[in-house]
Amino acid sequence: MKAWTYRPDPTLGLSLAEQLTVFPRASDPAQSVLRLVWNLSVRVWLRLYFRLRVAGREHLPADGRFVLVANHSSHLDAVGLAAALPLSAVDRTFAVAARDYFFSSLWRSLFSAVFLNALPFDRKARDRSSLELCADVLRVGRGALIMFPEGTRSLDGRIQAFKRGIGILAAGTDLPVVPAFIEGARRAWPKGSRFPRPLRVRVTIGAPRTFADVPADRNGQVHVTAEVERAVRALAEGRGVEDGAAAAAPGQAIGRDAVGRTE
Amino acid sequence: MSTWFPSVADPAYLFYLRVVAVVLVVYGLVLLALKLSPLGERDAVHKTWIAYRAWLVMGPLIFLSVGLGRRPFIALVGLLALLFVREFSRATGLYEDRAFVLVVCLWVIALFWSALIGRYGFFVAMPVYGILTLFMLPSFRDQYEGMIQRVGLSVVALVYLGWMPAHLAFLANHRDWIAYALFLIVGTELNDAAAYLAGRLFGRHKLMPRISPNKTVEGAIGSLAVVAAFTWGVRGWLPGFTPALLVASVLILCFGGILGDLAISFVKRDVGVKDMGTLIPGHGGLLDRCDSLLVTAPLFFHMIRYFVRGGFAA
Repeated sequence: MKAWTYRPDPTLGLSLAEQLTVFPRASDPAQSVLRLVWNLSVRVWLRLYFRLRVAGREHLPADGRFVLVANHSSHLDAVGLAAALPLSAVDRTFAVAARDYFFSSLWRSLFSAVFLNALPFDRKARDRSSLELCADVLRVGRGALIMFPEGTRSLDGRIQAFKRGIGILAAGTDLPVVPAFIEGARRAWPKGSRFPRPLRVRVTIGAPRTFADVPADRNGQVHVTAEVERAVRALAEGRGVEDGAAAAAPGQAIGRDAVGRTE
Repeated sequence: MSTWFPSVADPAYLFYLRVVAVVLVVYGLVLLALKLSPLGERDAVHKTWIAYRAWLVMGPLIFLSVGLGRRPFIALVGLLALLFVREFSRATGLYEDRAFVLVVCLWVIALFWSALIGRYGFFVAMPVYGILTLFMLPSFRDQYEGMIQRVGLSVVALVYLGWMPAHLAFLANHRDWIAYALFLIVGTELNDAAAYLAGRLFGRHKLMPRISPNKTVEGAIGSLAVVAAFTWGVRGWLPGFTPALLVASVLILCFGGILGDLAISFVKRDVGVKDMGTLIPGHGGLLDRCDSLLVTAPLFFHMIRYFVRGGFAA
């Protein structure tokens, strides 16, 4: 009789802290259940505490394969964007997160992996292994990514220059890039602040774009990156927020919050 | 205090609490002396020390779970069974097929629910429905490739890793469950520890060299002696036990323990993993620690159900 072949989870011998940093993550019903419960509770919290509003949900591609790209100024950004997606998508939507921050300790890794469904992105490495992980999620896993091409949270709320990773992912492919603009998140919970304040947060999702006809070389990638950045800024202007400055809550005077807390 | 911790009022609880505390302290002092002696640099001493430290966490957890009373105890054993299923499915690769794992988990939850409400009929009949559901799954999906393996692994997970330990939970429906459960848990773990220590000290003849090279005949004999002494010592805390039942308990704890140990060992060998997990430092996964209990719990439970008069509500 032919023997059965077993494929143990390759992370079986690793400690929990190490297991959590491994990506792609193995299928784990326990994690999925916890993630679902977390997402449900966060949605309730965002709606009640920050009176979160999402506009443009209809722009999200129905097959669930896309990159959602937004400005970044607060820890609320990733959960705010995740809350804009259908609940059934949370398991295959990954927030691209800095490995050196979100996976720096057991507790952070636990939170990032289980709740945020974060993809550990090595922003310090010179090679492109992390970008290849991203590409695999989209191509092989047919999942979605939440990405902040600024690379870090903006301190004053001004949108910073986008890094080229998004261009590398999208140039010359049929990958839909969905621009989004988050306003109010920085006022509610700026970088370095411990507790969020109950201020209004609003997410605006724009029309997806593809860049299949742009050559996948350096120039093409720079071009795509600039296009995506323009799209996010356009959404900001559409909301009456110039340059995304201060990312103020609707109806509130821009600049009042220019004090800019720092870490 | 006693509403949150109802078992504290039980004299058997306090008795076992004292016994385990004394054993852990004495064992700890011996190990500490060894560590400080010239032998302390040895790898074996270090490993035993790490394993001992894990006991300092597991011991209080066991007493906490029993101390919280019947319902929390059943819930915690249920959680343990779900974690067994998780470790097993990760080790065998079954985890890749979520549907099977989910069906197994749902039936395990149903099983512990039946223990919680004390429905013995459903509790013993559950494998019928569980196994049928698992066999239906490939048909519903119209898939056949590798399906015997998935169904087979799922049935093992459900029956061996869910149903067997669930007997420990159902035991909590007995009037004297605290005394019985603590005897079972402490006796099983004592047997493991004694077999390990006796094997290390006197081990010459290997028991099953291919499956588990660390197990020795001397270890088994040593653990039999220790468990017999233990059972004799606590005979006053086993209500309704005749001498024949005491002897049967010793045999269940000792041989059941060894068989359970070997069973998980051959699973690990066949799959090709060293441990079922890394949750308990110095021990491995939960299944590596609780392997003996999977065998001793159902045997001990049914012995009580058949031969000890009364006690179960239904």
